Amino acid sequence: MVALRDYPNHVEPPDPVPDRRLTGVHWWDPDRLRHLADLPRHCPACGAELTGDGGISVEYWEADHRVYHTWCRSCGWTGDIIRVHRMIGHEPD
Amino acid sequence: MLSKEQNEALTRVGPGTPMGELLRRYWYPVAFVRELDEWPIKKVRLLGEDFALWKTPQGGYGIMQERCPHRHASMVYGVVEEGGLRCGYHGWLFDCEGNCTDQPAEPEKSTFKDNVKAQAGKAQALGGMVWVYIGPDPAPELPRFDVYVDEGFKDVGHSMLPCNWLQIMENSVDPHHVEWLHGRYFQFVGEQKGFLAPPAFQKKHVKVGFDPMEWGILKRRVLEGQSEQDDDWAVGHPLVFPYCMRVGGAGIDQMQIRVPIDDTHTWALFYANHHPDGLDEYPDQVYPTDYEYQWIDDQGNFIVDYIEGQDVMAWVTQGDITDRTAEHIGKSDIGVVMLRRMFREQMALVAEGKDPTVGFTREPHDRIELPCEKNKFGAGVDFALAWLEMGSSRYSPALDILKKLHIQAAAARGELPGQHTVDTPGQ
Ligand code: FES
Ligand SMILES: [Fe+2]
Ligand SMILES: [Zn+2]
Repeated sequence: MVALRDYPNHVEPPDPVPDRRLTGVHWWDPDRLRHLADLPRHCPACGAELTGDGGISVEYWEADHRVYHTWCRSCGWTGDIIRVHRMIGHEPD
Repeated sequence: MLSKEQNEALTRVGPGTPMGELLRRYWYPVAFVRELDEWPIKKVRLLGEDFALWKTPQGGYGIMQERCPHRHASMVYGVVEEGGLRCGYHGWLFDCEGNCTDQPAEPEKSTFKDNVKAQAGKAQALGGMVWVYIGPDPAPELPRFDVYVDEGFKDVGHSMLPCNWLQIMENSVDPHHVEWLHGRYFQFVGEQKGFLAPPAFQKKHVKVGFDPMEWGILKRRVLEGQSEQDDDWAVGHPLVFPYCMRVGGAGIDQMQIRVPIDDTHTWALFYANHHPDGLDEYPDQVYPTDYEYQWIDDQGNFIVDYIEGQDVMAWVTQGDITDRTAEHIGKSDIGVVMLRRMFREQMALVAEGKDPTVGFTREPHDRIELPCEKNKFGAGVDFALAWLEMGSSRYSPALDILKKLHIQAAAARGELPGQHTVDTPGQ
């Protein structure tokens, strides 16, 4: 973050900050890397690569489950991929 | 959570980036008409590039790269002439298309100037603002949304914020934040500082819905005590792709505009048109009232005792570009998930050489009406007054005029302040 104290409202936009994002080691890194490793890499329908500009996969949580909302650019498949650790019936949301 | 590469792709707005290419298919407001009437040239940064914007003696507008193609002096310190903008350093003259039409120091017969072309965009005025397009030809139409063209009293608060525009847009598909940031947190601040925060903001969201539409994403909600018949669900209000949100109620229509200046700065405007029922004449305005709203105090703390100040706190403290590889999002964030997918789909269309299909038109038109709740908030003068005092318009030099206008309108409707309970304004 910029030092907000030094940021009066009425100024021209300062130069963009140099790229220093996502490069440092964070205390949450182990968890973050584990989640990144689980992201789907291929479309479940056509097998095309989802990385790069091939599509998108966004992880969100639904109770204990991790859901990957996914869109494939090649075939247009859109849907949720859910990572399941344990099968349980009649589970509330 | 997003991969690092997706976070980069979704937040980088410079030339040649996939998002930068998508965003270059849209028009942006970059100045007030008033400013260029006072001094005819303004430096503008948009999507990570610097430009000189000028008003022509004929009354039109031009925009070109800031640096003169000769030896890179700033065209912002140029001379405005009938033929275009002339560099202050050696006098090269550029027309609105970027053609170099004069090089006074070169031999008279030289054809050198025919070999020089500056990067130029398109510019036009709408609603008291100057809008520019810096993408490839042919330019689409500038969408003439209701707020900008309708009659009324116009009031525009603005400020430059040190964060990426996407985190502000994600806030526009995040209805749950209202009951926390503007509800519980507002209440807490009020308790500490000794004022009563509006209790209506604390209402729980029972259900939220998001529908893609031609202008963006229509956001709907059912609050505690409401049903799907209420305007909040039946009508809703839209995120206007890719950089606005439309809100309103009680004779106030507002567009929240987030202009991506560069990767880490956003010019955030609250453009409101006040036209309460009961009035058919409005106080004279040569220009919309424009002013800066404050969001940080002398000690460097965020100003959080008003609605938009609370939003700014949330947008900016996420970081200049928030690290989405480390976030934890849930079921209540699906609007955000949907928005990211929409951006990805639209980026792909542009990468294939097609036009975007959301928020974009090539059809000439006079006015575009956006769906927006009218009968929410109790729809009365109390809501309008609360909006004025608890929102960024508390910084408006026209605040008293605005209050008077809403009270007069209420009197004309036979309505008195205090008759309505103020319901939850959605942000
Ligand atoms: S609870 Fe949402 S940012 Fe902290
Ligand atoms: Fe908000
Ligand atoms: Zn596929």
